[in-house]
Amino acid sequence: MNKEVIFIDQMSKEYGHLDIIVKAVDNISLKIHEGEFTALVGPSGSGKTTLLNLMSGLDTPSHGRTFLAGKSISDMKGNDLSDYRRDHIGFIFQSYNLIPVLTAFENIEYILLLQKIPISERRERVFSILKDVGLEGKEHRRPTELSGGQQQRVAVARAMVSRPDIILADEPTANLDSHTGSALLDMMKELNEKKKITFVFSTHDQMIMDRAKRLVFLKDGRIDREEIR
Amino acid sequence: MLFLKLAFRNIFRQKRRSLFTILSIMGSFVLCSMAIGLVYGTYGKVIDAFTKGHSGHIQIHAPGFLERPSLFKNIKDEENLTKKIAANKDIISSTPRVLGSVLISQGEKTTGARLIGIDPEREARTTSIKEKIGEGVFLSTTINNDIVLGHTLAKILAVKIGDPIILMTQAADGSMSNDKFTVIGIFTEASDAMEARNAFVHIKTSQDFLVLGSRIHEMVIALNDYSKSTMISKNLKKVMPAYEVSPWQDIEAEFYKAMTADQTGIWIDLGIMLFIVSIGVLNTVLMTILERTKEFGILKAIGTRPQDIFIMVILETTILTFISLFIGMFFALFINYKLSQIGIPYPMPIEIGGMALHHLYGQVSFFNLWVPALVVSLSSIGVSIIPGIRAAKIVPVKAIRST
Repeated sequence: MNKEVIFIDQMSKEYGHLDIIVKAVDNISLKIHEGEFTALVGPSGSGKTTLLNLMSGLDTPSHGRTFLAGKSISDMKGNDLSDYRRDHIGFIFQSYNLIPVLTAFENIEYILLLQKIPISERRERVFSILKDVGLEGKEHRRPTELSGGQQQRVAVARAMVSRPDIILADEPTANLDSHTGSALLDMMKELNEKKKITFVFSTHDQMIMDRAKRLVFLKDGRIDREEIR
Repeated sequence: MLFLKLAFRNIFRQKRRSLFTILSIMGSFVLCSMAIGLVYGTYGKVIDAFTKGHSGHIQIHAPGFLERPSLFKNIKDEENLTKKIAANKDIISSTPRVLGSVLISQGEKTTGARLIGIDPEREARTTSIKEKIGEGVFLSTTINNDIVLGHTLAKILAVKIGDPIILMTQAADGSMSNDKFTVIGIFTEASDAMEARNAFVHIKTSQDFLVLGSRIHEMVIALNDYSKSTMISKNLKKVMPAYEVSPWQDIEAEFYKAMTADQTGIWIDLGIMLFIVSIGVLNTVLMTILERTKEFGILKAIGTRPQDIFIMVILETTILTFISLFIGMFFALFINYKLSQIGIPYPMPIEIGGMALHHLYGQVSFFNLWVPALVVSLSSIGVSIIPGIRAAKIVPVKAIRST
């Protein structure tokens, strides 16, 4: 068994006020290990995106805790939480969410700048990752000058460049056509296999489910069943 | 450096909005500079006319003279005093005066007047009394019984150039002094009613008439810059502790009080103007934050610290402010220069402290650039603190969901 990256301990997230309370995540416990390619699967409203947000500390749980690399991020706040997220988690969003005023190179470099990595190492790492995601020669283009697929590749590169413990991807193929989505997933799968990068997806895309090594099915905020391939 | 780059790019991303913000900050800076320039420029001209007209920038008297003038409160060592004054490089010139109260008669008409004994040559270098002569001529260096009268005095006595008049007073030795004088000049542009009742004679003539010997009552000093009056007064006081050294603000206290009260008004006007501009800047910055809520959420999600988001917002406003001030500086200099040359005429002259203001004049000075620059920067950057905190506190998960 590989090293444990994330441990979610009896996590719940409740929304609402007074008598009307909706449990988006209901007492879930889950462990993610290094090198996994896991998909959180379920229909809309099943709680998969909320669970992903709780895993990353983007959202605060009503009950329970998230341990990332052995540390509870549920107790962290402000700069500590930002720094921890920066150093340990990579994000890939459904709608790419690149910084529009920065070029592809600068978008990827951004996190390394926050980490105060020296310039020579920054350049080396950014160019290397651009090569990995097949965007060589497009480093000076701004997001608006790239296709959807290319923008998502930049987002993947941005998530990977800081060498995080885990990459969390929220429906990364939802805005891509099937061909582009498939190519992007093949690339992520290859990075997972070759570089042992841990990926957790929130999705209802069959393409992701087909490639995932572990499927966690959610229903009404609870884990319905799991499938390991 | 990273945040500076981001701030610059974000400014150029919303060109129209940035331009609007720049214009409003620049506009307020130029208006503030112009308003301060007009107040200080106009008063500068008035102070210059006021001090040059009669009082000078600094006066030296025997103790208690300024509060309660007396023939016996006088200065004995005028020569020594002149030497000490001449040692100060900020002093252009100085002139001694003898002051006394007299009765003046012409035929059956008699009136009271203030007799001022002056050194015609030094007086002409220090004040503009000579330039005010409307009829006849000014006093010459020759010691004689020539006299120059204020126009009000000449009117009361119904005298004209060449007419003889009789002066009568009690001299310093207790004797009654009287003598005949010849009117050689009448000055017509008196700055106030008091001055229009003055009578000028040669200083030696007045000293003889009042039996004062070589004693004087007043030493009037002209400086190269009136704003140094207080400072130089203090310096002079140190080298001549036996005398009262007063800057023009103390000599013309009534005028100075009226002027400072009027100047206070301008700061209230500027405050209102800055408040309006601040609201505009606040609105623009808030709009920017609102539009970029999602972006700030992303930046926080990928590890940007809240304080860095705050810095980013403040930096954007700071850059916009500096660009505005840089451009505004040229406009302010140009407008202030033009206003200092041509001025803005009042429909009706306004009187402050006995001086009539006919025009508003601008002023080109470092003061009316740095003060509005500082005030406008503080208000513009100050109002972006609230949006900055708001951006820093954005909850990533909520922000990312927003469109």
